[in-house]
Amino acid sequence: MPVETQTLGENWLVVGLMLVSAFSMGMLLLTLNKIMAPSKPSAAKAAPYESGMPDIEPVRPSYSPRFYVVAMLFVIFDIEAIFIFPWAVIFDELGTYGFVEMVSFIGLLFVGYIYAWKKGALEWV
Amino acid sequence: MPLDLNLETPDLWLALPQFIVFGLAIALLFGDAFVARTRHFVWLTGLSLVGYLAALVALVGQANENATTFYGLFRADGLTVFLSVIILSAAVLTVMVSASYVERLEGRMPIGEFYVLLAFSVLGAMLVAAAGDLVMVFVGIELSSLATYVLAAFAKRRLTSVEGALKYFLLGIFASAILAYGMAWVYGVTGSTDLDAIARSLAASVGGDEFLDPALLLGLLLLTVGLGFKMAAVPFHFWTPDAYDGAPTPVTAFMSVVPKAAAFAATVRIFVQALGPLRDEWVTLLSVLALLTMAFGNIVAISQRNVKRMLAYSSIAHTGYMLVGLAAYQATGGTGFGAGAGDGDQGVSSLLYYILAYNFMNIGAFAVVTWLQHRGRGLTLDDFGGLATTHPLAAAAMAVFMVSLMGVPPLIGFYAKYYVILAAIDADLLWLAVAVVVLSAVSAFYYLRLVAVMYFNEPEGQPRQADTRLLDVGIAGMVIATIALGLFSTPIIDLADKWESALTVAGQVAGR
Amino acid sequence: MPWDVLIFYLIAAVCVLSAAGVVVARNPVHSAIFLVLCFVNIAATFVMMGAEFLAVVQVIVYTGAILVLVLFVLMLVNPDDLPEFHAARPVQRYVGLLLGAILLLEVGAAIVTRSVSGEQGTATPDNIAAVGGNTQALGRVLYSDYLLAFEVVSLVLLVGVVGAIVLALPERLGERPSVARRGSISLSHPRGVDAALPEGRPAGETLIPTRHSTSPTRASGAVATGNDREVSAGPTPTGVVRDLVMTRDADAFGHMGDKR
Repeated sequence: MPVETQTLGENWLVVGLMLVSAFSMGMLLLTLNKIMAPSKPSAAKAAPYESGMPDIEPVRPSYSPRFYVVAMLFVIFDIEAIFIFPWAVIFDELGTYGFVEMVSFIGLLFVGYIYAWKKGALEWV
Repeated sequence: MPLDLNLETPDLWLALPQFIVFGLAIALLFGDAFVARTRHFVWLTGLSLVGYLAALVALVGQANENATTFYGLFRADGLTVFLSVIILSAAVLTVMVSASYVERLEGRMPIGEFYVLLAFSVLGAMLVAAAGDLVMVFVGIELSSLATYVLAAFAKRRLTSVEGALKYFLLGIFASAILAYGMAWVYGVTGSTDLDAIARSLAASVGGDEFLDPALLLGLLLLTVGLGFKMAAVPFHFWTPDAYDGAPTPVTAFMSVVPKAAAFAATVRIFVQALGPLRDEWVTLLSVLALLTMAFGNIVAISQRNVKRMLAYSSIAHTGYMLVGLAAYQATGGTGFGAGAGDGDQGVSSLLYYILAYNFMNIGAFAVVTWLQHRGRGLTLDDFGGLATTHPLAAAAMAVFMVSLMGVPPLIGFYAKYYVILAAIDADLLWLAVAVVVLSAVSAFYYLRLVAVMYFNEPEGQPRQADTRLLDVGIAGMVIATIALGLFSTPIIDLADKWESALTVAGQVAGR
Repeated sequence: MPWDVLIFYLIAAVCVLSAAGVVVARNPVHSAIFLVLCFVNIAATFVMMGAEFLAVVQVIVYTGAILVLVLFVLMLVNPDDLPEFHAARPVQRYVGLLLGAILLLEVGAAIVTRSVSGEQGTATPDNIAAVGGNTQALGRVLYSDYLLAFEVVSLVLLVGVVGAIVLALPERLGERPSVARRGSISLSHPRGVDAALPEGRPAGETLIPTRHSTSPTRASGAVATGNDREVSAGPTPTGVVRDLVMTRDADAFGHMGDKR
């Protein structure tokens, strides 16, 4: 049994190389930026609102809680998507049985989607 | 080959009551989204009541089953049925208690969502009761807890509600993580997540004077900690007072019964059914927990002036009494109370009966608190002053529940403690039996103090009028149940004895 | 294969150190970044153990989704409102350390003395390789043996949707969380003071003690909490009404900027 392909096979070497190159590319650009760009920071530039009244206390941008709801829904449907992967790779073996399983799974999540829609969670101010 | 696919169509009819509750939850979800808000109160309350009652009726079909489906994940046996009866009746009572509270108090909370979450929590607890596999126990507990966390924060404009729910949530997920870790160790040692397969594997490897595998002991310990959090046993009770106090009162009533029932269902399923061969180890652990829990709950409850907090500590104390029942488990696949003392296990039956009794009297007590909140009273002991003159019936109902929680003879609470004590004596745990009696006497102080305040103090202020018909019916029903189910306890304990059908495997392997 | 071992130790060391960084970092955003590092390294160890699917899930769900959620929360929540992670009493810290050490010892003991006493499970490397890999193997058990659990998971997710909508969605469009909730929900402080809030009273009226105040105050009007910033809770649900301070001094810009 070719068990060794599961440990450090060449596929993962490629993934590792890609990660390393992506990381070094990002670092390179950041460093170049640091070296070459002019940098003259001043307090007025750092103020959240550059004109009008000075802020009395540190200003925090006010995010709507709706962002949070959307992020929450994203996580939930993300996890749903995860469950579809192992189903997809053996779909031909599961056949109709698997199809019914997945339809009921997605159907339940779809109920959640309709609910969120109806409750206005997807509306934007 | 072991990883072969063997696709069998599951027997859906076997899980009919669970499917009814599931359908109810989905129907409520659609009702909440598509029915006009003005009709929610009547329609969704009615739908919930009908749904839970239909599920109760459908349980009759499971009554004499002893079968599994869904590849062994779902079990229909005596334990499933008895626990489902408790959970469903708690659900019906919660609906009756909560309807007007959710609709009118605390700034009119969204009642549709409330019922949806309630239904999912009930479904999760029922799935734990019917679980035949560690994974199912975990998923069921998660479903139940997740919905309950949200319910605890349901009065989201009141900070105590959010704060209590946050503590409940953080400690609850912590407990879930520990529970899952414990399950992973048990799986690692036994190679299966199926409860019966675990029992078989352990029976083959454990026994004699051999030293117990540390990995197994670790798994057992982690499971105890995780379940201890869920059932609010001392020293894992920290979240209880704040969560119970902060949650809207009907939710507190629900939280004190259904998640607790689910936790005990999980404990019986895992410890008795799967880890039965390790009985000697966990019985010691649970008896220590039981003593601590009883003592702490009862003693701290004395100093509480807030009735909801007092009932929270009292519920910790009752967890202790229930744990005594579980600690009295004897690994004989015997016949329970029916066959007379000394012959078989009585512990689990007494535990089941206790949860049933606790269901009626505790939800009852919280129901009276809710009833008073409708009439503008607060939650402190002083707010109950002179209740007997202003509202004699409510005072009488509260007195019945208090006396029953204390354990006075004709009432259901007495029989519950009676069976637990019998089981403890039968299992040679005399010290625990004595502790139950002594601490019940201690508990008399705070239960009777409330009764005394209601009957001997002067009332303050003018009560407000309120129309709470459904709640009135619910309280009346619980008073009747508290009195009648005690007097006719024999058929119920016989029904509870049927839990042993869950032990088809573990019972044989423990065999004496 | 020494290379494997070497790489494993590298990954494990980074993982442990970044996990420590999550706990030690004072800035919550730094904690989150350390968490990303930790998760990616955990994914790498999963790869080394031959659990590719788990590794991908780790990256997609934890590093992708959960971390986004964490950062969202950090943006949404005022840092002053966060629980006092680093202000725990020494007793709590030492008890926590002690319990953690005990757990570590137990786990260590269990691993050192391990002996699989029962039967081996079905998911052995050979069996997994025979069906083509662990994603396929997972699919085979998940969609047959654990079918019910799989379907119940969708219910758990559904409850997540409902819960998120109930708790986080403002009841009206444009509503902001009540400012009167300023103050910290500390895990250790005594419960809030509004336990017996009767029906019909506006929710904005309540105030829990802020971190610096010494005595809990029930707010039913304007309340000064003894904080360095005065917080006054008006009787209206909208909560705090700050005095509008104007300044003509242009230098105030610099001053205000430095204050951050």
